[in-house]
Amino acid sequence: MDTAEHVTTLLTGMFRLPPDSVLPDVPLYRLKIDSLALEEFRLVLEDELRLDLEDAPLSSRSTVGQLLATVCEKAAVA
Amino acid sequence: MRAAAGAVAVTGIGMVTAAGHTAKQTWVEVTSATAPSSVRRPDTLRDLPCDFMYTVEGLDLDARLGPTARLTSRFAQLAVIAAREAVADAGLDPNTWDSARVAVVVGTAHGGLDYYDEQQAVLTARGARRVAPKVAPLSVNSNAASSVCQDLGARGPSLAVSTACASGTDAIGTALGWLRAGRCDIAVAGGAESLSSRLVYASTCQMRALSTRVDDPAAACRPFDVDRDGFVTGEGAGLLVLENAEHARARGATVRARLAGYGSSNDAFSPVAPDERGAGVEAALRTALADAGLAPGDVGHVNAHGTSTVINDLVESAALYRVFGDRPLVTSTKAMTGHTLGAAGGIEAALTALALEEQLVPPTVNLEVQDPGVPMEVVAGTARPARLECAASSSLGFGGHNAVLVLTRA
Repeated sequence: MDTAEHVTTLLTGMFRLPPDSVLPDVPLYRLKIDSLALEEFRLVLEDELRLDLEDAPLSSRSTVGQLLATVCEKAAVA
Repeated sequence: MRAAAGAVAVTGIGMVTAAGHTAKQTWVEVTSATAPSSVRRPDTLRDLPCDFMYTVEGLDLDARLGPTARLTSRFAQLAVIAAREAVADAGLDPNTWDSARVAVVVGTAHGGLDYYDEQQAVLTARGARRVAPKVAPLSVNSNAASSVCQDLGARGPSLAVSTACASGTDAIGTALGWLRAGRCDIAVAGGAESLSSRLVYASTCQMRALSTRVDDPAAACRPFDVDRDGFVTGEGAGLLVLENAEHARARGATVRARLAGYGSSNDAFSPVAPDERGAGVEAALRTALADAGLAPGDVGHVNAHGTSTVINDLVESAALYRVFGDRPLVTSTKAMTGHTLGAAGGIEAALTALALEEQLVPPTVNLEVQDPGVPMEVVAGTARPARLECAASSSLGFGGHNAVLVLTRA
């Protein structure tokens, strides 16, 4: 499983999202992922992918595409 | 019996307890079982002098609550389940009610302390960067009240009430005051608790307040019995839907019972022990009766706090005797639910309302030989049918908190 796939699986699992709702242009808040939920998810991603995402510039206004790109970029240099 | 002018209607009842996942299941179990079936030894209590408690088993909270589950601690989850049941039982539809006129008051003693404990362990073992960002919202005592508001879409006044083991009773009393003052038309009120914190149990064992009948945990909670040796905790939630009489009448609601009076007091005596003279609980009983406009002789049944500690059961029953004489049929339902701390008042008010409705007093399970120092008639063995017009539910908490509700038949 590549990183993007792994992130998507974690996202749909944790927030119980139908897979077809997780589209690149959708902002996270539209998936009911608010600022608190995003910080919870950041910890899950760090643990699952063994990454440090503390300074990754993410907010609930980030889109799914931006989330995936940011995490993949971090994973590539890790 | 005519309802007092200040009485409000109980139109919905919801319970999740070790005795059942619904009010009905709990009532049937509490009135028909001869022993509790959900006393367990959780891992967190392993090797403590008291390593058992009453647990709610077989309820799939994740499935029932969906995404809400992630943002609520267990006591709040139990509160949400009980609130949904109470509101459905009342025939209310949260999609159409005037949400600004719906209040929520949930009592709890320890709130989300278990989650605090869990994350303290993460902090110690893995450091600050691995701590979850939701310790504050999940551990606060108001997590149940706010979760119920969010789940139901209740937008009126809301409050967590915390007076140790009197919390649930004080929550319902607070809601009664709000309804009388016109601050809301409907109130969802009661208590919720789920505590398995090893720290608190270890400490309460040191206090020697918990039963240490480890060879027979199901028989350990034995209120008013001569061989009782301490309380046994339980988890659960009990919530009522309360409405102004006029509001209930206008929408043609079925009234299950009436909440007629509330009294509370403080012993101003000790952080833990009740004042052995029992003046505080006696004052709360008399205040609740006066608030209801009723006389001691009207009360036919008392769902006592009856924790199964040596001192509580003596002090409380002596105070009941001074106020009522030996007429009311007394019971403690804690041998079936455990002592659910801040939830106890909510669960026991619900059971008191059901006793009035069903004209049936639940037995005090595990009571074999009544302590000769207990001067009241305590129902033991099997449930007792009785003509009941009025009943009281009492709670005594650490810190000298005493609270009493008086209910009347619908």
